[in-house]
Amino acid sequence: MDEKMEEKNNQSEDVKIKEATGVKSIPFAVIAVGIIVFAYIFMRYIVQPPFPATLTNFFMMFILAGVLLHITLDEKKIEDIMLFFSFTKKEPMPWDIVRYSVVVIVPLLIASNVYSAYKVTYAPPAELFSPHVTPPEWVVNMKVPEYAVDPNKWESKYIEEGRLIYEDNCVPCHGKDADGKGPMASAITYPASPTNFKEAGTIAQLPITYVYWRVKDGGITDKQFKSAMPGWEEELSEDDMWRVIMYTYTKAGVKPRTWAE
Amino acid sequence: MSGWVKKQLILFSCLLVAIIGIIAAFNLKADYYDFPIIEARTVVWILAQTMLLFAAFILAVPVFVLIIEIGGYLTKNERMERLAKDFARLLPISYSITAILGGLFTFASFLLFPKYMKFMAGPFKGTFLLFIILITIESTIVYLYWTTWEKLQGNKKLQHIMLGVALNVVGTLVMMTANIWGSFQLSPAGISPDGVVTSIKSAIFNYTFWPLNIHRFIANISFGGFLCAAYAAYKFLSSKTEEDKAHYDWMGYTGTFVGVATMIFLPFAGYYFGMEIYSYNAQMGITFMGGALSKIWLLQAIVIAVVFIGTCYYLWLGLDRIPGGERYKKYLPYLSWGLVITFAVWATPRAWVASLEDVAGGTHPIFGTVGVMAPKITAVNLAILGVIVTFLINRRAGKYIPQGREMFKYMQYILIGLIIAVNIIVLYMSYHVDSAVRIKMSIYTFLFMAVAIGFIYFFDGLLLKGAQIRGQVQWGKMAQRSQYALIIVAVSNIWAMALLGYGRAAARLNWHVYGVLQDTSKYAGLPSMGRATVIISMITLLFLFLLGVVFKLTATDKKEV
Ligand code: HEC
Repeated sequence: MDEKMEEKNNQSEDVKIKEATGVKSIPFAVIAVGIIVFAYIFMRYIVQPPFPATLTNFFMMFILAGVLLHITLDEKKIEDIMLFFSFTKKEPMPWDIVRYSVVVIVPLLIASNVYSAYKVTYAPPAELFSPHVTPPEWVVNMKVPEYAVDPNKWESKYIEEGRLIYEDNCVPCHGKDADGKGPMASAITYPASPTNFKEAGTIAQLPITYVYWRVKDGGITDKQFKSAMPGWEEELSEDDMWRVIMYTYTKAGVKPRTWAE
Repeated sequence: MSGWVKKQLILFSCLLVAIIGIIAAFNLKADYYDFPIIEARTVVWILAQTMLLFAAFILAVPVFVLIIEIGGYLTKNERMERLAKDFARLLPISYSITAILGGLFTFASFLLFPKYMKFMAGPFKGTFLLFIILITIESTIVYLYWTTWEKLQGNKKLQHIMLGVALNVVGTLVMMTANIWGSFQLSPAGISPDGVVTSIKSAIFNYTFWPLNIHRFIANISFGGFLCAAYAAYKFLSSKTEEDKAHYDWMGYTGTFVGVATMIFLPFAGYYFGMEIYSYNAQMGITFMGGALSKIWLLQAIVIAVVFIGTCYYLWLGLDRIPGGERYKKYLPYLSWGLVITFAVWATPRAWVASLEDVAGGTHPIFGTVGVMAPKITAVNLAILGVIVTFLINRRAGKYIPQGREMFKYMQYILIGLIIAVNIIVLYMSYHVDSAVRIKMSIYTFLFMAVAIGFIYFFDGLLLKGAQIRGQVQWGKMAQRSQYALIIVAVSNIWAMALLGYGRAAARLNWHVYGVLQDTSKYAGLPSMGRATVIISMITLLFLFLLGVVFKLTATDKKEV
């Protein structure tokens, strides 16, 4: 029964570590509050650009659930937290500040939510936004020109032609490096800023016909939104559009989605 | 025999109602009729989904009962026998309720949507008939199964078990017959260009027929397990004696075990379904995954997170009743946070609410990278691993690991490490390869995981073979909050099923039969997500209410048990 010994060792080691590092002295309630506050600050101030406000709330739900699970896994932690916030036990100064701030801030937060829910704003009503709406029927059934079908056989002369078209037309928004950081980009945010084609969730996961449709018709043709993406049908010929698409893929270093088995 | 006839009366009267509806529909002139106040679509939606939930229940219970019955037979465990019987008791009434809902559903959909139903009745006449025959056989077997439970005991038990097997076979056939219609609507096949079914065989074995069968079969079993657990939780919370508490605690554990053990296969069945939809029609695939319906997956991620984390939470708290369980408590917070984070990744949207106040509008660089399929697959794989680790902990908590078997433990650690490493490497690579390669990689990752998990269990068997236990499991010594977790898990499960039922129907957009028969009623457009969730919640409540009725009607006297 070697495990019994092992257990005893473990326990005494745990105690030793705790004593040595002084970890024991931070009440769990403070750690829990710390996790919640840090998560919020991280999403709203550290990540750039900050997470959208409503999405932050969405993720905070996960954080709160995580903290709640963590606390309720152990009877003792529940008691500790209850005791901490019951203000019956004396705590050192910094922890006292924490618990007073919590009891002050939580009601204030609720109040501010109520306030913003009732505040009159001029913003359009928030709507869920889908960047990749269902394409029209013709997009699914269309034929791709011979020279654009196989990304491994794209000829450099077409790509070069595409580059010129791209630099003439697309750079202001999508940027020289196809990273969505063109000189005009920061002015365009609603409903979406110009696409960074290097992200996995954009052209890399779309079939080339879908991208052709997006370039040809522009803006998201969803009922609620009209994005800043222009339609190029009138400016560019069909071949031009295929070429600029080939260049965009090449520049971004990704390939269109295929359904090959 | 007269007992049988009496029992079948409900079924026959429901069939009669359905047939009256069908005949009446063929004499109707208009394509559509409306229903006052709550609208035709909502009526059919609620009836169809509630019926499907009940159908899932009556498919799940026999599987569940059979597993437990065989378990009890093989291990000579009285308690298992009692649990199996307790659940088999629910069957006759549940069948009747399903039949009533089915009759009403057929009646209502033929009269409110005659255009669509008449179209289906044409080529699928034969399958309708088959369906009627199958359900009559099924309800006969149910009747026999239940009434012979006491008679076929002892050395006749095997006969009873065979009856249970027959019940399950017929039940599965019934489900498959119904799936023909649902899958055909989604991915019709065997159709001539002018929309006439020319090959009934291709119409039946269409693209999504098998994925739907597999997905539903697995989901139903896990559904049954979770409902059993929730029922046990309810009884646990209202138990007065220690003895009852112990029984219901054990029952909750068994139900949960069946629920999770099958649940972990569901994501794979889901991917298979998704892949078949994509290969059937890329347009529908995009609608499903990226377009109008993509937000369904967000909601789904949340409810499935509740189901997974809720069951694990229950199992973690359950360590308190296993002598020796305390040894593992210090690892639980890590596991718990691990699961929360993997599900947060899964729930990361590709796009969000577009608001003028937010710098990035409706998109964000993080969504563009994390909100795609690859990290979600990794996250789900790791979440499944978390569940497996929870199981392993539960198994070994109450035992002394015999000396000299450390090797097996280390093998397990290595395998777990490998699974994590492979998933992370595949995730990293998936950002750098073509979509086709990426999809292939994820399939191999699943296969690898399945094999690795198999080996982990194999080593676990070797590790714990004949191990001495630390003490009896103290059934009934369970924190109350763990029982609430079980109830929440079951409710989330029902909600998830209703949500995905909606998703499958919504994927057809404005088509009754995708690309073949257009919906020209005024309900052709999709309801808003908000409205859909309200109806889904109503369906969940209605189902819970009807289930409560079943439990109430079959409640047994204390003395009899
Ligand atoms: C006025 C600024 C602007 C210009 C110029 C512009 N775009 Fe866009 N583009 C956008 C915005 C904003 C989006 C994101 C919203 C959307 O998807 O509609 C976008 C999206 C796209 C998308 C869709 C990506 C996806 O993941 O769905 C493609 C493809 C695209 N642009 C290609 C081009 C090409 C090629 C050109 C040049 C011929 C070009 N754009 C010029 C603003 C612009």
